[in-house]
Amino acid sequence: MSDRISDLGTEDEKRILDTLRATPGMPSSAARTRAAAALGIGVAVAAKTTIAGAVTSAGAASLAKAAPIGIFSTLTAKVVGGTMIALAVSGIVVERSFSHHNASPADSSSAREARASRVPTGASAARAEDVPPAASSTNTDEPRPPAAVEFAPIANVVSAPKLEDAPVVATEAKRSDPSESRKQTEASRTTKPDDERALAGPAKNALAGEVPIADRPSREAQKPLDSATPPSKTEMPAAAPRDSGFERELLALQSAKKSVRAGDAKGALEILSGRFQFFEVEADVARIEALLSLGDRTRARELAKAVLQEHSDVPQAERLRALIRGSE
Amino acid sequence: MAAALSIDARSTADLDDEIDGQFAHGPERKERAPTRCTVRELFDAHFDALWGRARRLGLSDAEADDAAQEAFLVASKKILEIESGREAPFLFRTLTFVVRNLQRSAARRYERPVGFDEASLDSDSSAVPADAQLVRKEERELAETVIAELELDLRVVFVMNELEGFSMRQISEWLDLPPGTVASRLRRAREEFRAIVKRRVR
Repeated sequence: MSDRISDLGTEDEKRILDTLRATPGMPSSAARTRAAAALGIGVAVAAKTTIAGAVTSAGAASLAKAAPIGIFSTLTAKVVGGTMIALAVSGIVVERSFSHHNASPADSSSAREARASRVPTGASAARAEDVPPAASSTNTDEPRPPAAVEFAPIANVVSAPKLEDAPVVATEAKRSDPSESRKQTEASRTTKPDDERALAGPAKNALAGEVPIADRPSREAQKPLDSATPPSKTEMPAAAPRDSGFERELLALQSAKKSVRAGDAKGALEILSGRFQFFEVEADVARIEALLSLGDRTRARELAKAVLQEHSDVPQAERLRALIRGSE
Repeated sequence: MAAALSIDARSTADLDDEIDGQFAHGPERKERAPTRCTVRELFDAHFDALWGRARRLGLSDAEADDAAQEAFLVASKKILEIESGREAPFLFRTLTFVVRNLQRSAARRYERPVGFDEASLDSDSSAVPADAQLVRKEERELAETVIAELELDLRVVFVMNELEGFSMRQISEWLDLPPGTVASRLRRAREEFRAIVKRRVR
């Protein structure tokens, strides 16, 4: 006979269990998008939103950095070849990618930490493009389009200097033979000094996770939400030298939420001081959360009301209404 | 204030080690072929469910976001180690390790992000009178407090059995635990749950 509390419990116990059963709900679309990006399966997301090279790059960047911790073992030689192509085209140090391949677990942890917190730059984002989505990467039988065609647009997006020999490497990297890929690895290592020279400037900074303020997107184009929260001069995750608003916003949003959770609400508000086009409501919700964290319920309520006036049917609407009710 | 629940590099490495150890199968275990699912297929099929399980285990929305994402990152690393047909158990076990890691990082059981999650407690109650909302909110808080007070190992089997309807045999298979261990944990979980409810509900 079952002695489950659900069957034999007291009324109080059953009531609590019923409440717990009703708890979960569903993850927000932003959470799904963020997780997909972190997994390197943001391609479909980007395709659905028809924003080329946006989330895709962030997600693939994560995958590329996750390579040393096991994913790479699942990638085929074609993927390795694809990696070489994109790296060459975008002017990124190829050696860096392959150093992941042989990296220690400790390195991989650092990479993941960096992935979680670091600003994806144009360079790193371009590096990310080299790894195809996980869904297709594990299927060695799936044909891939010609590499030069596939990765050509990246060169237009990335501001990093290009390697002189990029076309040659890209052509050779089309081969799917693993031994060829390995040869390319060795070849790329030998070109490291030139690559490093080529990376002097924004790209090198980008690889190091340090983007000069001068390279950041113009703040004039981003109207601050609130004059009381001036644009950040410290950490703006959107500081990528590429024109990818979607990606910038996604990472800024992620960073802001982390800041709030870490108790740095002011920092979060600074990060959120720019205009959000793709994640407008999510950014407002994050601002509200930050304001609540600061104890400024009045401004939080006002902002919530404003959001509801403009977007009464968004998924967060009920939360916002509850907030307004709770603060009146 | 909100707890900093970020998983730092050190703790993530610890998590990897722990997962490697926990997923090492004994010699008696029947080997299965690795999963044929891609990461994307896993994500599409299991993300929402895993997120819901994270919430049932007592995490806030934001924590569940992080935990589910981390579990999938681990799964993506170990995709070749996931046995065919056991993708969901793998993800769930990974989630439990992630939750444990989050708890260690937070150095305390559960601390909810300030303010906004409280508002979200009433997220489905726009047409409910204010007093009823208050009651509902209090019940939700009580329920989450009770579940959070359970030790994690006990909480996992309790949630699986009482909230999700898993049989003890299924729990044993999912968690790779001997049936006796599951039965023992479940019995202790029920005793603790009853004690906590008795203490909390006057």
